[in-house]
Amino acid sequence: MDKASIFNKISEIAETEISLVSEATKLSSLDAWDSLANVLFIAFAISDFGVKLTGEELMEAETVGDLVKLIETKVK
Amino acid sequence: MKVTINNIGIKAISAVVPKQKRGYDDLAKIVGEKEARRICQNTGIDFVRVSKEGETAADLCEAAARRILEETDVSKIVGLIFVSQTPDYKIPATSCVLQHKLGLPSTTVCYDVNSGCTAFVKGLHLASMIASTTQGDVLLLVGDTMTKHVSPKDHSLYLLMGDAGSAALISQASGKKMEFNLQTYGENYSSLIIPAGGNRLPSSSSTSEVVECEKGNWRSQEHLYMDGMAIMLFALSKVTSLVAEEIRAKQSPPNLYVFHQANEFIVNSMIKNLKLDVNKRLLSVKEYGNTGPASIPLAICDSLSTGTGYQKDSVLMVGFGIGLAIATVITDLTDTLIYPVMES
Repeated sequence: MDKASIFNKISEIAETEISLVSEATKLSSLDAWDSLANVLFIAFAISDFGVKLTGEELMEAETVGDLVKLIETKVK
Repeated sequence: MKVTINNIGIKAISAVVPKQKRGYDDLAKIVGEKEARRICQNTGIDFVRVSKEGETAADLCEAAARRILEETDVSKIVGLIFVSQTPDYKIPATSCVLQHKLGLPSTTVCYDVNSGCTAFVKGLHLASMIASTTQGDVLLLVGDTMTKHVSPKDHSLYLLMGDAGSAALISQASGKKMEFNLQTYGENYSSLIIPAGGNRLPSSSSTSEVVECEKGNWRSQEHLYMDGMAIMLFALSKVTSLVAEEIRAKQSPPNLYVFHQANEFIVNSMIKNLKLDVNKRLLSVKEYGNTGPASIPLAICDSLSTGTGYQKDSVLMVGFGIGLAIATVITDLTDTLIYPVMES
């Protein structure tokens, strides 16, 4: 699975420099990580990985690493 | 259910929007320029149309119907179906009021149907069933004035939902047909809902209280609520799968796609995931937003009323949303009279 593409997408959605996005990055520290960001991430997960994420799962994610894990688990 | 109704076609389609616009500048005043730009870039919506106080979906539909009736023998109309989520009254059915206002014969059967983004396709299904058993015409009026039910402090919907009305005339047509696929996912009924104001939760001082529901989004239980994540998942999973199935079932694929105009991102994501030709899809959200029930006929009038290069002999229309529900139809619009979008 291409982790870099997930980081890229998160930086694009959050309108943040890619250098500031790592697994440890807290989603709450990203200004633009809001309900619209969650909607766009759901679309990305299903379009690029065929993975269906629910709102509940996304609301529980605290870090970028949590989002990566969510996709990883479902891809398997 | 899947059903094909033979020897049936759409004679004419028209659409009407209110003149008054709400746009980026209005949204920026509420959420700031950066956030407004981010929202508009993703939705592809520059403006939505907002009905005047006292102007209803029935008024917009009536205006759309009058355009068609100018060139129709009114005495041939046997049915009127009004599909809307914003009727004039709790009771009686708005279709009865419209039958009177439009001067339709008393031999007209009138139905009100409560349906949103699948309204036009579901309405075509009902209208086709009536028309196929009579020699007369059926008038299908579809529209909403949902801006009246959106909280002005809910920025997720403020520049998304727009008002519009439409009319279509359905009658027997030798050799033409409509191929429907209609599905319902009622377990997701709360993903798009106005919780209060019906009998389940009557209006009260507490249901009209506006509170902060998500960060920066304020609304009451009498306002429209949309779970954007659930809708996105629905659109890109169940709806996309159903559309893929419909296309696979055809010997030659449809040559025009008219999806419910939810927003640009959803329509284009579906087109991309289905690997369809982007030049064969209609998109009309920029000037009108998501007009719910009327979005498919509005997109048709917006894009097909003037001489265009679009082929219209196999058009796939895809309604999806509130219910949740999906309604698709494949039909031929070659001989359909398509009027330009009018302003009320």
